[in-house]
Amino acid sequence: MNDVIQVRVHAALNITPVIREITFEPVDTALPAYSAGSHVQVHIPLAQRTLRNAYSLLNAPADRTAYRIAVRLQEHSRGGSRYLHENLKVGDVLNLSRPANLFPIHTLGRHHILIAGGIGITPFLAYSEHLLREGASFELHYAYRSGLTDAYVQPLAERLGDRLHAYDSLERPLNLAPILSNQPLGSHLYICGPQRLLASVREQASALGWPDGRIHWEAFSSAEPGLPFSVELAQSGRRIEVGADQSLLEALEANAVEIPNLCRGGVCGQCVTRYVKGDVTHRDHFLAANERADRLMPCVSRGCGSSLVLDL
Amino acid sequence: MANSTASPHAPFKSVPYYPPMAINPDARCHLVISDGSDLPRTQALVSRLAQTPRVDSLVLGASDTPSLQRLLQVLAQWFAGLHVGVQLHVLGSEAFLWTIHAQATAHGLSNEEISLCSPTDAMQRLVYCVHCANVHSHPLADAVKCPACAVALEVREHFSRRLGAYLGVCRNADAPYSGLPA
Repeated sequence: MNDVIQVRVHAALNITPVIREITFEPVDTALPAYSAGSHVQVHIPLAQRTLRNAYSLLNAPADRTAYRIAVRLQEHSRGGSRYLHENLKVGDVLNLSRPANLFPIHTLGRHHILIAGGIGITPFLAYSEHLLREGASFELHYAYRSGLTDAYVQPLAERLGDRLHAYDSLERPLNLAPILSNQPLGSHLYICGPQRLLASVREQASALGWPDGRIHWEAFSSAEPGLPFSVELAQSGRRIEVGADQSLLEALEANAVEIPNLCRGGVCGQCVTRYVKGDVTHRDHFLAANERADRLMPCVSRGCGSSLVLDL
Repeated sequence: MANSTASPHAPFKSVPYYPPMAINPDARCHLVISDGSDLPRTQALVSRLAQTPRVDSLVLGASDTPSLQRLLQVLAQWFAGLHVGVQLHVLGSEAFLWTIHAQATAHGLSNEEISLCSPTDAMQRLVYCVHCANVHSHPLADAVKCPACAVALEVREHFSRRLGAYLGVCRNADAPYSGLPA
């Protein structure tokens, strides 16, 4: 878990009013290789504490000289995206976790259908490069708001030609039925974007007979603030306070309790922790209802009501 | 995490498992393929599927599919024109089930989209010869002779879903070609 890579900001460019693209270069050693769909956690040094936010890597996976990410400024940010937009400068040195992939391309796919909403385009930039290189059959559907989240429409149109289908949400809304109805056997579907888009694509694909194993998605939710609460660790007897805009995972880390984690957004299941007592607001998209009786995901879920006791 | 208390020397078996039949109610097309050995069950399935948008069936031995080769040709033509949203149901002997399974996966279907009904008989099974890499159908027996390379094979209780066949290895390395009639 202490696998941290030191990088320097090589370039930072606002490509729309809300999206900033950041290029990192290695400080001393070469960057680790990664596969399309991978993300890194960026350790963001805020004044009071270090936040770790996950961002997809954009560049061609074969390129190990730089890592590129694109950051959407979040209105209700806990400070991470705001820092990357407003404070980060070229030349700054930051820590990243090593790349991990929770959203890989299915290698047996005969045809790949990529559906992106807004900033959800990021993993598909790496996908497109990989699929082009492999000569694989694919199509990319990209819904965005013009002038706001249309960061990569132009370069993708040049690179992908008629494989790209662009949908300006005001002028030409994304219509899923024709995309999902006539795909050849062996197709795989990948979705990245807001929860609303994921839910609607998954629902429509299932209704058209797509089995779950052909549908892959990545949500980019991250911890949202809540009320402060305190938590007790059953094994050590320690008590830890969790602030309003801090996640339980971050509070544990701030107290030197390290828990394996990858997505920090409630989807991968790495940080699942048992609890023995207390009321929990579950905010993850991973645990089944019955598992929630004694397990929680500290990256997004919070204690509420009676005091929470973790089996740590 | 190994919780198993099984001895590491216990016989190792990996044989196919046929779960109870499950129908995907959202599939837009159901294909029912049968070797004709259990027509009542095939007909019962087709009528159960009558409420779904589309059901097509093929029965080995029917006038348009008199041979396995012809049936596989018709199936390949169907697959070429179909889209995601298909569920394939296969009924028949174990060797037949896995012959159709191999054809379906070669056309891009996944295990989730293929439903193999428990075999009507396992008297005939496919055996993969590790010596010449050919698959042949054999009557159920512990020892068989590979028709391609003539090595006398012992058939292990070890099954490959990809090949749809049991593992056949040389029975006697000192006398690979002897001990079994052709």
